[in-house]
Amino acid sequence: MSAAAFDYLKALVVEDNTHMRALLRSLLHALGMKQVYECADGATAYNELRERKPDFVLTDLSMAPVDGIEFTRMVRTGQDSPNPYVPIIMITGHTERPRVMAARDAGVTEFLAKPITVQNLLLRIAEIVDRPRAFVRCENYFGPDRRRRRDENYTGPWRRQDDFKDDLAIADDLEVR
Amino acid sequence: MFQRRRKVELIDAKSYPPVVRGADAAHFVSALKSEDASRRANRAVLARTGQLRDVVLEYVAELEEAVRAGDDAAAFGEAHDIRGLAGTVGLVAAGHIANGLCLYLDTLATRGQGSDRTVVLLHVEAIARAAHAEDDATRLGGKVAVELAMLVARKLSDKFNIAAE
Repeated sequence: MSAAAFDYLKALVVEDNTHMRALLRSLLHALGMKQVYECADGATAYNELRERKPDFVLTDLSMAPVDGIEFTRMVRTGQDSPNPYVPIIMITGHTERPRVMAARDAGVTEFLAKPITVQNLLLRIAEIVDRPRAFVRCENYFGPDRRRRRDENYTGPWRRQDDFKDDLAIADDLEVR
Repeated sequence: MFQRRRKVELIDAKSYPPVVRGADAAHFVSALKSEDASRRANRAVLARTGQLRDVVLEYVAELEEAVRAGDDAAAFGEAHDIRGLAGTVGLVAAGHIANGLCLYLDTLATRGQGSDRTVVLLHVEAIARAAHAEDDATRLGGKVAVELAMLVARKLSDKFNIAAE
C-alpha cells in the first residue's frame, strides 16, 4: 500500500509548542498526508476548522487563550460549529485524572499521551477511521459515546433510548413513576 | 409523584460523514498499520531527534533559571515542555522525572500552596543529568525517576493526606 491512500486526508494540528507542532507535521507528512494545517491555540483552530474542513484534529490540552478542552467544547456544542462530529485526538502530557475526565466530558474522541510514539499515533488515527464512535446527545453532553465497553455488572441508571430498544413499552414512555 | 427521565439520544456512527469512505477505509487502516508506514514515520522522528534533544536541553536551562528565580509557575511550564518532548526523542528518564515535577507543582498550585525547594531542586538536577547524559540506555535514570516519584507521593501525602492525582 503506498502513501497515496493518505493524499486527500486533511489534518489540523493544534499545539502551542512549535517544536512539537513541527514534529507532528513531519510525522503526518511522512505518512503521505499532504494537507496538514497548523495552529497554536484553540481560538485560531476553530476558525481553521471552518476554513479548511479537516477530516480529523490533533490537539494539545494546555494552550492559551483557548485550551484543548474549551476548543473541543466549542466544536461539539458551538451554535456555529462547522463540524460537531469531527474526530478529535487529544495529545497531552496531562495524565492527571481530573483533566483527562474534563477533556472526555468535553467530547474528545481519543487520547494520546505524551511522550508520543509513532506506534500509538498510528493506532489512534487507525481507530478513528476503523471504528468511528456513536455520538450521544443529552441534556448536558454532546460528543462521542463515552461507554467504551459493555459492563455486565453495571448498576447505574439506564437512560438511553437504545437501552430500551427491546422494551418498547418503556422506550415510548419517558415518564416513569 | 412523577419523575422525568432524562432523554438520551444515541446517534449511530453511520449517520454522520466518515473520515474515510467505504472500501477506502479498510485500505487506509491497512496502510496505517503497515511496516512501511511505521518505518516512514520513525524516520521522520529520527531526522529531528538531534535538533529536538538540543531543544530539550534549552528547556532544561530555562527550568533551572525559573527555579533559581523561585518561580513555580514558570518552572511548571518548562517541566511541562520537557515531559512533552523528551520521551519522544528518546530521553525517557528525563521525561518521566519532568512529569513527576509537573504533578508535584500542579497539585500544590491547585491548592494554593508553595513548593518544597529541596524536592524541586532534586528533580531539576535529575532532569538535567538525564538529559545531558542521554543515559536512557542505562537503568539509572529510570531508577531515579521511580525514587523521585515516591518522594513526591510521600510529600503530597504528608501535606494533604492525598496521593498525587
